[in-house]
Amino acid sequence: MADYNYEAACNRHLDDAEHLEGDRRFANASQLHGYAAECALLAIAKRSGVGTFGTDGVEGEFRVHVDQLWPAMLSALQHRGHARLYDALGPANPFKGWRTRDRYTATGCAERSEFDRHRQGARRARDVLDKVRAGTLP
Amino acid sequence: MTVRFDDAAQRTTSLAASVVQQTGLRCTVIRDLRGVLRLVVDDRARALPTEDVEAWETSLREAAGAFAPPDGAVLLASMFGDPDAVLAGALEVLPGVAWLERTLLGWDWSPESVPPFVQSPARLVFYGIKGGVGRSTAAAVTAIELARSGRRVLVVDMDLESPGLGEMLAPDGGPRAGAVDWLVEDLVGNADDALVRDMLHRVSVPDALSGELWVVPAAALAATGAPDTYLPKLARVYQGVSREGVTRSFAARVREMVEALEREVRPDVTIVDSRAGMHDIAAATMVGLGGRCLLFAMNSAQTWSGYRRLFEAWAARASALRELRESVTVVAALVPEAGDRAYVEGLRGRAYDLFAEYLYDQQRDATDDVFNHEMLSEDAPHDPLEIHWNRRLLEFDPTAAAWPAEVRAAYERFLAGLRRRKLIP
Repeated sequence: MADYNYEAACNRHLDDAEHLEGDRRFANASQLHGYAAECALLAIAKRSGVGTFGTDGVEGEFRVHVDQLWPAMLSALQHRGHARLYDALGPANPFKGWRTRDRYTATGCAERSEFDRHRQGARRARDVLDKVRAGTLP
Repeated sequence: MTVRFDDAAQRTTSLAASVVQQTGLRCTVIRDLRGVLRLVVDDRARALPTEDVEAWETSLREAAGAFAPPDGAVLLASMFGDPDAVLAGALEVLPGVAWLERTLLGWDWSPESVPPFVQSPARLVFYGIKGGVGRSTAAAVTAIELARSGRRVLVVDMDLESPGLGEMLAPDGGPRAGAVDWLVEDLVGNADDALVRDMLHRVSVPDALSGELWVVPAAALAATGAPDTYLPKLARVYQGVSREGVTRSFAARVREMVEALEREVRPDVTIVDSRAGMHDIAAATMVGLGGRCLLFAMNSAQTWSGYRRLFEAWAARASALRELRESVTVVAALVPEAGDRAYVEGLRGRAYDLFAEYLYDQQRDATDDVFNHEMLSEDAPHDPLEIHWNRRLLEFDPTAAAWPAEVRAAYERFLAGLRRRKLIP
């Protein structure tokens, strides 16, 4: 499957987001938080047997960006009996309103309150992924 | 040779110990829901050579067989964003080696689940490793006697798998909700004060004077006309609840439920009838309520075998042991009419052997401050309170206005012992 490594990509995006935050470049940091969370969720999906993955990565309902991926994951986790994963990630979507097309806009996502929400969401997704890797979730 | 569940655990623990010896770094063995084992090495203090990590990965696969994961058997703490969150709840089993169990139904023995002893209201848990020993009847008798002596008593039936105490004290029905309802509504944040009031039923106690007796059944006793929904609820209640990173264990939820009931009733004494056997409920009520616990026992091989397993589990979790061992008292249940003294002495001896092996400290010299009792020490934890068998108990209704003299006699020493040992006011 190409050279996709969702877990390593999640860490890479998160690390860079933190560097940008340090330089007060919140708009691009927020974008990277979205990509970090997207990668974390896909890694969780793959490890949990949720979602379909082919030679070009994820397929079907999960082949979307994080603003739509997060609720899609919650729905799938709920319907497939992954109660603990659902509890760990839900019930709210921290990336509601995040848009990948903000990379084309002049200012991007620059609201500080939204940035905080995206950062917390990305970290929560990464923390859940860590627990799935370690076997303490689900 | 196929590596089985127990061997995989033992061999992985040995591997962890060897890694500790080799590196001086703390290791945590994690056993997941399916019993698959992983080893987390805490490399936050210094980096580790890749070849060492790869060697441990190979060793773990050999050690654990089918109980090793397909990849990532050995993980480094530095890989995690928040290693302490991942490893929270791990208990040390050997120097430098901790264990973290992830089970579907898991005993909650972590230090956080052992709350401080609760003075008021007095909390008394009735527990038996085996069922059918008169535990629930004894709980009902104790509650009624306390109400008759002017106390306000709350009784909670936590024998969710085999309810009985609620029906015993409220035979004509009553509460529109029970413990299982609170636990399932709490999963979605719905366990409100209105629900608490629906759970409570005031039992009419003859000669109660100023005393009151309130019972919370395991399930609703009022006829609602709706199809029975008990089993779908029961299948869900044992979960912990996690919301945005904060987890409330099953034990914590049980404690919160009891506290909510106590806020409503304001009892002098709370009596909890716990489920028989080794189960989450046992851990939640014995470990998680900060009360005293009565261990009902018959002098039989099955009883002592069961308590041995329980004591072994406690002794392996030293963080909970000190509070637990000072809070338990053995009850000799159903002492036979013929040869009662010999029976009680035999039971005391068996109880003492178990306590001495697992719960009492070894006294090295006279100045040692230890938790220890002699075999014949009166009112020691192993010295049993007695409930005597009488055939009148077969049809005994604790809510009847008058108790037969034989029933009073059966419980006389038990109730006196509870008072003497200050387990009840």
